[in-house]
Amino acid sequence: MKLPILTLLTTLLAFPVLAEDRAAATTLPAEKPAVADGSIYDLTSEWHDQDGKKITLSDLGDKVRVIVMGYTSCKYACPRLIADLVAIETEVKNDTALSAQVGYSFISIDPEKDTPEKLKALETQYQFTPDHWKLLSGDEDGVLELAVALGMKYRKTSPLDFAHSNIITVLRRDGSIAHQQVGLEADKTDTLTAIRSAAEAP
Amino acid sequence: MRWANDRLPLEAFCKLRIRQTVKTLFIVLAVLPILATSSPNGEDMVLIPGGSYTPLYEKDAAAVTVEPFYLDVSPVTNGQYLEFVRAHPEWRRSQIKTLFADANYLKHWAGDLDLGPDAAQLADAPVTNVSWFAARAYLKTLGKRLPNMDEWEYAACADETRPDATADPEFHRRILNWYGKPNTEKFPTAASFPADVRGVRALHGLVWEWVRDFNNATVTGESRGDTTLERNLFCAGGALSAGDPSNYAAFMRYAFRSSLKGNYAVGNLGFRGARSFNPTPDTNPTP
Repeated sequence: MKLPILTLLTTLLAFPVLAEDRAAATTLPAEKPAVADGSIYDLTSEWHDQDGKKITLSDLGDKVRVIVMGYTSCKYACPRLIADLVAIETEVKNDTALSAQVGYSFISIDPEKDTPEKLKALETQYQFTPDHWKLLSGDEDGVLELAVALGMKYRKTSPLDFAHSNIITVLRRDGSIAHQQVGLEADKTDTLTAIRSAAEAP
Repeated sequence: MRWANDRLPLEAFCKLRIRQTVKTLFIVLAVLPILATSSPNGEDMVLIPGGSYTPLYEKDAAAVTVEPFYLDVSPVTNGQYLEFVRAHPEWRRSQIKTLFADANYLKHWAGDLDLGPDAAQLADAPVTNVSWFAARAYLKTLGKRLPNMDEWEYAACADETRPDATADPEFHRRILNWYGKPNTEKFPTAASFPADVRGVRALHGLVWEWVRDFNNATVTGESRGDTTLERNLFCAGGALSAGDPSNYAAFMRYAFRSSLKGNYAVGNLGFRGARSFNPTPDTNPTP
């Protein structure tokens, strides 16, 4: 009934040959999320913002963009994630010239429930300034694509809730990823540095 | 159950073979493809009856219900993929955006539209070195999609005679033997593999396959952090040390998937298409 341990060990050792070096199954992914190279703005999915206006991701490219993905009915991680984003904004605001070049986005992973009204309520709740804050909701496939491109993992765990990784991503104006801050209440020093250098880039 | 007669074609085939006359054989050969091709478009798909299976991705996971769906009998071939890139230049090797595929994309081909000296052999072999984005784009042109992880895993519980062979240690041994083998340079055709009880070929033993939600494998409902993967792996490891090797092959697939990025093109990773039984309109404009 049981496989000999030796067979399993052999299998484990032989496996990386099969999966090619960098995708070896026995290797744990690094802390860093698996981000794609290239521009996020090459994704052509359609979204709506908190005013119900139709937009594409490339519309976010007017500014260096700091984004998170979550869902508005989230009680646990998302409020903390948004708080982290607000903390970053607070720092950036100290530099007026910089602040004008930086935008923030909350992108919903729950297209079913996150209507423009829900996004608007979030805007009101946090007093987001519409010049700087774009809140997005789209469709299931657009969400999946963006999440994959950002290296974000998520899964619906109940009709109401999602499990998801907590990642703050800094996008350059061209949509390439400048930096990712992983986990809640993480040190934001590197994120701020990345925002500054992204703002200096053309 | 509407799909309970799912196994009929094969059984009928066996019985008829006992009586075999040349005539019946001809009839069977003519009818079999029709029976196997129960997809709405008459393509090479079979209906996988709904059911449930117990996934590995959560400790003490409850059984997951899988709705009936159509699944491609075989993985997509180089020849089929070549037709796709011929019609869609933006997915050619020289044109593709780096977000959608890395430098390994179709690297085993000689050129954008050239399979190279082994073209004849390669054309019918499964296409590999294709990214998740590319696989989706290909399938979208056919009105298909990637199977969800649960769908794939559920379908992959079958062997030649049983819809669920997972209680049989020999079933897992065969899969693990394949995982232990070094990669081959040239892949055989899926047609050289036996059809499983539903007519699907080479879910195991040929190439690894992309699933639609490969990025969901590492999170659990309990934890919202980013450290859950290790715990998941240890859960699987726990299953192993408890002397239950039955999930070990699945554990390797989850681990493999969680090491992937959407733009990775890997030499032994291909894909096949799926379609919902009652397709809801797919809401997804993709590049």
